[in-house]
Amino acid sequence: MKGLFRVERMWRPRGELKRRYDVVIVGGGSHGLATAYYLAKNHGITDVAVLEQSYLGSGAAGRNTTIIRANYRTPEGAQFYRRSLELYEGLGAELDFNLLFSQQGHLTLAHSDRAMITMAERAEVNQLLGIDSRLVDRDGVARLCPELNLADEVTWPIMGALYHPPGGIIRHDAVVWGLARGADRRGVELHPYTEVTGIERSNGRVTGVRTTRGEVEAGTVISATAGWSTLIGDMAGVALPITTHILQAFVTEPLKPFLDVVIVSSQMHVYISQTDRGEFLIGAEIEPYTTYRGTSTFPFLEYSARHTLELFPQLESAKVLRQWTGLCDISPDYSPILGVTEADGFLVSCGWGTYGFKAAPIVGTTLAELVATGKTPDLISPFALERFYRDSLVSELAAAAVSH
Amino acid sequence: MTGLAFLSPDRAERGRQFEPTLASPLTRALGGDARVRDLSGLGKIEVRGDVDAIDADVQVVRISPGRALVLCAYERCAELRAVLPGTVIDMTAALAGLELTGERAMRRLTDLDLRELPAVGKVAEVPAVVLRDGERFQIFFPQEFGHYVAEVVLDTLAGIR
Amino acid sequence: MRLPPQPNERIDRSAELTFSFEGKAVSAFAGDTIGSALYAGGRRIFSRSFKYHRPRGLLCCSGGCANCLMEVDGVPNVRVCVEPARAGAQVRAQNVRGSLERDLLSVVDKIGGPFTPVGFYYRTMIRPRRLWPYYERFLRSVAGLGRLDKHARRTNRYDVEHRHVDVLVVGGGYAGVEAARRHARAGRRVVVVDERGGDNPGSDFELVAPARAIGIYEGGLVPVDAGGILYRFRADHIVLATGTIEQPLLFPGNDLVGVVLPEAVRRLVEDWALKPGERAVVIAADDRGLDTTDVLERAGAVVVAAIDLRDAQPTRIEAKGRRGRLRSVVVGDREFACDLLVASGTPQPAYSLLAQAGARVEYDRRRGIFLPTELPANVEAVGSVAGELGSAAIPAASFDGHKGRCFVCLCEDVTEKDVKRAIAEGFDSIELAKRYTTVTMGPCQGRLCHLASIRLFAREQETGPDSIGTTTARPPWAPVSLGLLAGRGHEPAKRTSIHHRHEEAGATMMWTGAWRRPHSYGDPAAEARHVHEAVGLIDVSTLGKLLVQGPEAAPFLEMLYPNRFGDMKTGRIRYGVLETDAGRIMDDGTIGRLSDDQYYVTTTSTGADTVIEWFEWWNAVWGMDVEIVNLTGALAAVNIAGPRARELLARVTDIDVSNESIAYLDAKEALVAGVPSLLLRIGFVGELGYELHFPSPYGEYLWDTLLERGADLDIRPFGLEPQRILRLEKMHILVGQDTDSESNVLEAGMPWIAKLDKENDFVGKWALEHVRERGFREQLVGFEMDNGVVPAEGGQIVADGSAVGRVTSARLSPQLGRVIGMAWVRSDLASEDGELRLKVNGNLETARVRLKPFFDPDGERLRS
Ligand SMILES: Cc1cc2nc3c(=O)[nH]c(=O)nc-3n(C[C@H](O)[C@H](O)[C@H](O)COP(=O)(O)OP(=O)(O)OC[C@H]3O[C@@H](n4cnc5c(N)ncnc54)[C@H](O)[C@@H]3O)c2cc1C
Ligand code: FES
Repeated sequence: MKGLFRVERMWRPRGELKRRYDVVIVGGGSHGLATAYYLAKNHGITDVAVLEQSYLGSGAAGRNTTIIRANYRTPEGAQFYRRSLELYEGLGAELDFNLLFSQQGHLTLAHSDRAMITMAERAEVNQLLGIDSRLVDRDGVARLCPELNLADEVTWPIMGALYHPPGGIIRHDAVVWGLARGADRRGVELHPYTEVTGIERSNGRVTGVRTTRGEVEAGTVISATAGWSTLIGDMAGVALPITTHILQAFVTEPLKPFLDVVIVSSQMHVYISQTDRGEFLIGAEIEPYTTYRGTSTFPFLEYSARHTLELFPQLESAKVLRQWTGLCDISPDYSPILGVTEADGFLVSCGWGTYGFKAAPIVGTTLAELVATGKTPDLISPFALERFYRDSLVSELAAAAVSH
Repeated sequence: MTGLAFLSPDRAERGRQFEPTLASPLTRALGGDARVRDLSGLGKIEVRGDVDAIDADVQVVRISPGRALVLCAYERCAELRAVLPGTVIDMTAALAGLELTGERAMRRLTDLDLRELPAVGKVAEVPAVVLRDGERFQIFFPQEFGHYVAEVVLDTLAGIR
Repeated sequence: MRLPPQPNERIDRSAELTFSFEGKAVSAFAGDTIGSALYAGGRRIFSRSFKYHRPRGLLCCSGGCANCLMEVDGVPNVRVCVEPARAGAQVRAQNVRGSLERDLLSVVDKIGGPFTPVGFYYRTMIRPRRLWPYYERFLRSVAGLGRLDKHARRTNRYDVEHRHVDVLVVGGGYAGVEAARRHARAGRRVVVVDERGGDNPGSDFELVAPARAIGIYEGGLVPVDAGGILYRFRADHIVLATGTIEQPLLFPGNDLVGVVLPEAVRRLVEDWALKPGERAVVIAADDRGLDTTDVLERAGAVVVAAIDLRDAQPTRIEAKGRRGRLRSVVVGDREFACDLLVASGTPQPAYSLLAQAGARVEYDRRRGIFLPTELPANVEAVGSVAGELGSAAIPAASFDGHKGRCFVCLCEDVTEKDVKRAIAEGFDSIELAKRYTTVTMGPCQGRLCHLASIRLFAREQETGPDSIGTTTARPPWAPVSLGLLAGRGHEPAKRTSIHHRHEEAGATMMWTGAWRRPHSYGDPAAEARHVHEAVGLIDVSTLGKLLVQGPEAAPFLEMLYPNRFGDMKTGRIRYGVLETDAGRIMDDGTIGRLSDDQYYVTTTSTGADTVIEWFEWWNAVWGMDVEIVNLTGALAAVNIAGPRARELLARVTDIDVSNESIAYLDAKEALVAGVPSLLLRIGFVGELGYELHFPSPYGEYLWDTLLERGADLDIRPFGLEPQRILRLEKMHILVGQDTDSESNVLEAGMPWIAKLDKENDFVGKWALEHVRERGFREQLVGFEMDNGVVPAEGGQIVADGSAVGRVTSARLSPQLGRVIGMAWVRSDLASEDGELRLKVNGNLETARVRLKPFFDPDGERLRS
């Protein structure tokens, strides 16, 4: 209890950049920080610098709608995210930082029989892998979320849902800060406000980075830059099959507890949860155009409101307080791109689209293992960049597109 | 090329045991409401190509530099199909139409600038061609949305006091 | 108790009304707000704070803070200081257990308060993990402000109106009206939007009030909240005259009930003839604040001290109180007993809309506020928002005192100590500190805490205000209800021209994309059998229909499809499957050649829009001499199918309908029941069948006529579900159900479609060649269950405990009396009669692979 009142620094103040590090991680979001943390913790690799152009967690890590779940469609995806969810369950205690992980359950609504088939398939895939995931019918939905409007006269009546009890929401900032503190305490250097402006290569090998605070040599460079990945990839001469789009979200004024399960409707492009603060957190699908400019739009509020009220007419008078956008790095098959590239010494974590926050711990552990052992862990080998040349995509289109 | 007769309602033949009858997609939703006039039965012909060359005493709405919509009485469709220049496609069956009065209602149905009509845009979220004659507005849109648009129009009128 | 009539008061003393507060009657005058009426009735505590449940009273009285949030007629979080009093309204306090005067949860303040420093939650309740769900439940139960009624339905009518004007002025104060007149004189159409209303100015310009601009969005869109209606303004020119926002001072005790901003004094006295206090102290940084001295004195209050911060800044300011209410103020070394403290810093220009419009907003060190610097084109700022303020002092970032908490952010209960602590813990950039402390995240949206927190931060960091730099503003500018944003909530729906006939026949309707279609007319199995035995009629108007014409129509299609089309005779039809550029199945349909250079293409119902865009896009890319015409809505379509189909057709057309004249996969134009039609002989459902495509206005007529003329043949309509059974018997795929975003035609068992030896390249060709080279990984096959259980579509096929395939379709075929289906399986399992193990309700069931259609495998019935 005492530690509560003592003012203790979370991390050391930013120091000078060294000339060289064993590992340089570009991007101080959840993936960059998790990788740094697990490098130090699992492998004792501490000569690591995390370079972040702005403040820690300024990217998608601090803007996402924090849904964590494992009920993906492909066996490759499902087992990968399951492992991540398990890591998340223990992460708060491990970091000694409460991440406010609320495993309130996750319902993906089905509004058509086609959608019911997709959900059934996901439930089956998940069950084979031991993931708690099941198809529920309309009555089941009514029991799990009596507040939902199950009437028939709406545009898209609800036929059933995929129910995933361990899914839920977490406090995104807590994850960022907890990982940053954990990495810092083990000797990793955190360098906010340090932008990478170029990548040095010689003989097909990446040897270091140029930054707004000088040049740094590196044994390995890891790009964990999510929405900015193609820019960093270009610096390293690695073409990534990624497009960057914006995703928007908004919160309402805080209200007393009303909803304690995460509701997702792909058909209506809307998902809704209520945070521990009482705010409704509502998001949609990505905007169809590509951009790096994060301007919020009004039509987003309009259609999200329309669809939210179809599901929860009770929210008619709830007021929107803030809206924002974040960048999403979309890959062709809605699965991530992880690990080695054709440039030696240059690893990537990208292709996270709208669903990467839930993967931070598993990305961190597997990339750290890859750096430490030089071998790609089995769990992530299906997600190699190379798959686009081998035509072995891992299609999560049916599970990831709007489902976060 | 075939004449694509199956696009033109006026090519139907009556008599000899069959009496083909046309129906409008708006009829049921409008339920005879006098505030809205059903224009679905008008002739509508799309012209592609040199739309400046259209030389007929009919209403011509330019949709894009190379496309125009010709509005005419149903009875004149056959004649116009023969004389209009360029590629001529009979859209009579494709488009429903209605006329309503009042700028207020229109402002609630479309974000088109009503000072600059005719124009192509969205009405009730549906692609449409809009024309104006004083306070009267004519809207043409895909017929499959007909019932829905008519419902929205009536609901909109109900909200104007 | 009211003051004598005031010169510009807003109340009408002759019109009394009553509403209820916590069940007790409260009387008000017309023109009162709920807040002013409650105040008149003696109420001083209006809410309890978010975290500590501290009593809070009217602070800004202009709808800008969170101090007066109450529940009104079931609507939570209503700012009662600006909410007009309505007769019969039911008003209740929120976020209290007990009453506003005695809130049980205020223990958090007394006991927990000092023990719940910022970031408290992150550091506690971590172990043991199994207790966390209980803690969490408690946390959630005390979170939030107002309460939603779980059973509420939508009640209000909200409309949306689009407005195009020459000039839009936001803010109807002096500067705004001046600007409006100036533009009106230049002959422009001007609309002024104002939060408070006011008198209609006559013919110069249109006033929309009370109404609030919500933001400035892309393309200059300005949505305006006018109560029951949302105006979406687009203006050639926008004038922002949003004025300033009064800023509180930071000193211990600054949240006590009785500490107010100057505007509160003005509104209480001048609008509602209410006396804000008996003994007042005024501390202000500018004339606007100090002028309240006169207002107070006119209202009969005693101003015991008026301190002009421009003269000298006291070293210490501290407000003291009892039970949350102000009793005295210490200024320097003097203490004044008082019940009202007007405390205000430098007013901050209300720049949010400017920032959203793209203006650069910078911290002005000399004046201690943010000011707009560069404005975008077509945007003008006038009056005080542009920085036209009188002289003002920059008050100290915070004032010292001995005890009592100094709140930086009232909405979130964040104190000065919290901010300092956050910085000391390493949250040393403004954004990080904001996130950690949650300052500016509350209902005031930063209006009253953004500037203060930043100045405090700059002081603590010793970085100096220069580092504050610029700022942005997240929309919306004012909280806006979901109901208003949703508007009327109409969702475009497509109906075929035969739609109402299905409803009249009692069909169950279902959505497929934007279309409504009949699932069945009551008995899908019987409807399916009837097609095999007699004749059925189905509405297929939803099919996408395209005309592709021009000299290069054939090569165009050959480049889009893996099929060959150039060799097709006029009047013939071919089945085609479209691929994406990655060689994945995108859509399927039929392509009929109408003449040398005209093709009639059908697509799936849900794929129509995508296919049309796809065609138009490639046409633009390749620049070929081809015209594409979307005929989807123009034509209705029905399919007559079954052994008696020919007999029926013969009754309604003059042309020769013999098998020789119209063979399987022939296309012909003909009059059918007098209606010009395109006749396609195809067999999706596996029986002799004719698809008729004809002008949609004849939909009902032709439907009725066919049913009438076929009555003695026992013709019956059938829906989508029987159609699915029938097509499954034929192993005809449904794109999107039997295929997914990774499927290709080769592995989907349709190798004959892909003419890889075609001279020309086609979209997706490279990928198909690659698939052929690498060999098949999985294949789409048919299967038949050993027993009568119907596996779930989406069900898994397993071998050695792991998935080796998945069921995409499964039905009991009433015709065959067996359960049949289709599935993707690992390619080594894709051999005729091979055994598959399917997971069905947790059990493993056996099925056998079938590679040929279950029904009429050689297509004799189709061709008959
Ligand atoms: C609105 C929204 C909602 C979402 N909802 C969910 C959800 O519910 N569940 C879920 O699992 N996922 C969700 N996501 C996706 C998820 O947030 C991201 O996939 C994930 O955060 C990406 O990993 P990250 O945290 O490392 O990325 P980021 O936080 O974006 O980290 C990348 C960092 O790289 C930095 N950077 C970029 N270029 C440079 C450079 N040149 N030099 C230095 N630093 C650089 C950036 O500043 C940034 O901080 C959502 C995303 C958005 C935008
Ligand atoms: S007192 Fe009502 S909003 Fe500030």
